[in-house]
Amino acid sequence: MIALRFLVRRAFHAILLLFAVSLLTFLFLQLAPGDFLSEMKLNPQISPETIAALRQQYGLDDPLPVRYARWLQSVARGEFGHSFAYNRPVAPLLWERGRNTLMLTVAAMGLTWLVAVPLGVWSAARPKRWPGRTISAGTVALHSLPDLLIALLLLMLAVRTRWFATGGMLSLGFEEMTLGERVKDLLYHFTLPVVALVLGNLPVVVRHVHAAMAETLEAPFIRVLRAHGVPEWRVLLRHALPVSANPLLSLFGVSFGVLLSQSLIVEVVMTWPGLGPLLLEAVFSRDVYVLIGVVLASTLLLVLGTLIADCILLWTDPRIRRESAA
Amino acid sequence: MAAEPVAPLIEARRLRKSFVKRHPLRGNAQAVAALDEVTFTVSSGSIVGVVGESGSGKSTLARAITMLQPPDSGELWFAGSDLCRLGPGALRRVRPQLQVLFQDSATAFNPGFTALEAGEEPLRLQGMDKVARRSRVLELFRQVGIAEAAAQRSVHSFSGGQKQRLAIARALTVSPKLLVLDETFSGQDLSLRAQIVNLLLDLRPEKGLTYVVISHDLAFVGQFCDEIVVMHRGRIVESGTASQVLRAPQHEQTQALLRSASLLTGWSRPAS
Repeated sequence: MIALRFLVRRAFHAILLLFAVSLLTFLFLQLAPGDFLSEMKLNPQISPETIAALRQQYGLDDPLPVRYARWLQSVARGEFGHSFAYNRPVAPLLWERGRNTLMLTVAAMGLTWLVAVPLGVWSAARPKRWPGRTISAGTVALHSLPDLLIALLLLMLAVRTRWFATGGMLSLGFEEMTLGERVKDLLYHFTLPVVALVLGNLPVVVRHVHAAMAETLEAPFIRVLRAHGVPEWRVLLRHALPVSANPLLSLFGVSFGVLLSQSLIVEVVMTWPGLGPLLLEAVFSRDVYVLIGVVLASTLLLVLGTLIADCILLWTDPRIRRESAA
Repeated sequence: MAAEPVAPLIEARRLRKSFVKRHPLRGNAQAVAALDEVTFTVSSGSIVGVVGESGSGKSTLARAITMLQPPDSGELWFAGSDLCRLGPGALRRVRPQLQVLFQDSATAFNPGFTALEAGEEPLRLQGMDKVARRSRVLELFRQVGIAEAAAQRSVHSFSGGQKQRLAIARALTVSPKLLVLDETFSGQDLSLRAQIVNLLLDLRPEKGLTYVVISHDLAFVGQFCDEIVVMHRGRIVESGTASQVLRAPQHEQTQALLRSASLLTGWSRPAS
């Protein structure tokens, strides 16, 4: 019951947020000079009359409120506007590209946490010995490398070794492959961008796991457990980790958003057909509705990430349940 | 009451422990001796008070004799073995016999556990089955005055005094020989303090317990300890029976502690 009320309230907030984001994106795009047809004007083969007719057709000269209202109508129809460059509704385009981005980020997120939690716990358990020192130094070094550089280094590796694809998502002739070959082909393309994302996100998560665990391990109740002779693995995994979980679960939600924005860069560098390249093209060609669509899709994924994290928190921590009931 | 000469439960010889203190800006390290050649004996069944001002090393001593923070050097004899020389496995088997009660019982429990789970945790290691564990914990809860109905509640829903009782019950689940009370009574109001002290005094003969009471309050410790050890800058500067130390304090540190105690509480030295 409490969970339901919480969910309804959060969904309502999310809708308001998406609404505000769309409005602001509209306004900011309005402030930038030029539009999709500006470049056509430079082309001597297209007459000014044709351009004027197109402007009329797309309704580019209408005042902002009218265009926003028209866009909202199209949202209600489930189209999210019309792409000038692709000459089709934005929604299906977003879905195709968003699916690919989601595949990348979810895999990267799962892998990041799978690796980061054990590393963070280990380094917190042995802070002054070699595991703690090595992991700390490693994460700092990795964290100071820009995402772009990591992606480029990985590409270099792919070119040198030919173990991985240097771009794209599927090979030619994917349709004719057997299931095994398809999986292999997907992995061939998939591994590098995922590794780039994991390496970019890993240090932050490891540091947070380390910090949360280190703080909990200082607590007197840990000392009591050790005094009772509770084995160290049980102290760490059954006691310290669940107690440290709250800030980490919140980070889990936020890290989804971070991964998403990192993913946009990695996708462009590794030509992964996700939202990243779509966003870049849309920016260059001033394909405004695609732009707004990508921004909204990213916001939606970020909101969903935090919502999932909050739901897990609500489920795992009885104290939060009591507070939201009050 | 004066302690009769009985076999020592724990014997510490020349314990040393120093901490490295780093200057926050220059970063140069400086060793601070928290325990400096500390030698003392705790007789079985006695109550020994360890008093001293803040930073005198009394809490380090508490953590050293329970091996929570092993000393750098020295010997610590308990039940026929030197704890400082034991391997991790052997040490873990001895640990249950040396229990500590901390000042802040609120942070002494895993916040996600119920009272019963917290009480059962130490017993899991001893291979006791669930039914036996539960009945033992509930029996101890009853002895410290926690109702069986409350055992399923989360630990943080208990009051401060009840948490202290839970902590005592939990420490007793593993039948310890020694219970170190590390500033357990600081910051408690007087009636609560009296209740807990009475509870501990009642439990002592029944469970065959020995207490080491760490405190900065000499007057309070003097009321129920057999022996008193006064620490100053990592060293034991005075020790003896409670009446000796209270009536004829030799060291100026002891005298200072007594003066501050009587200033604060209006307590006066017993007439000799």
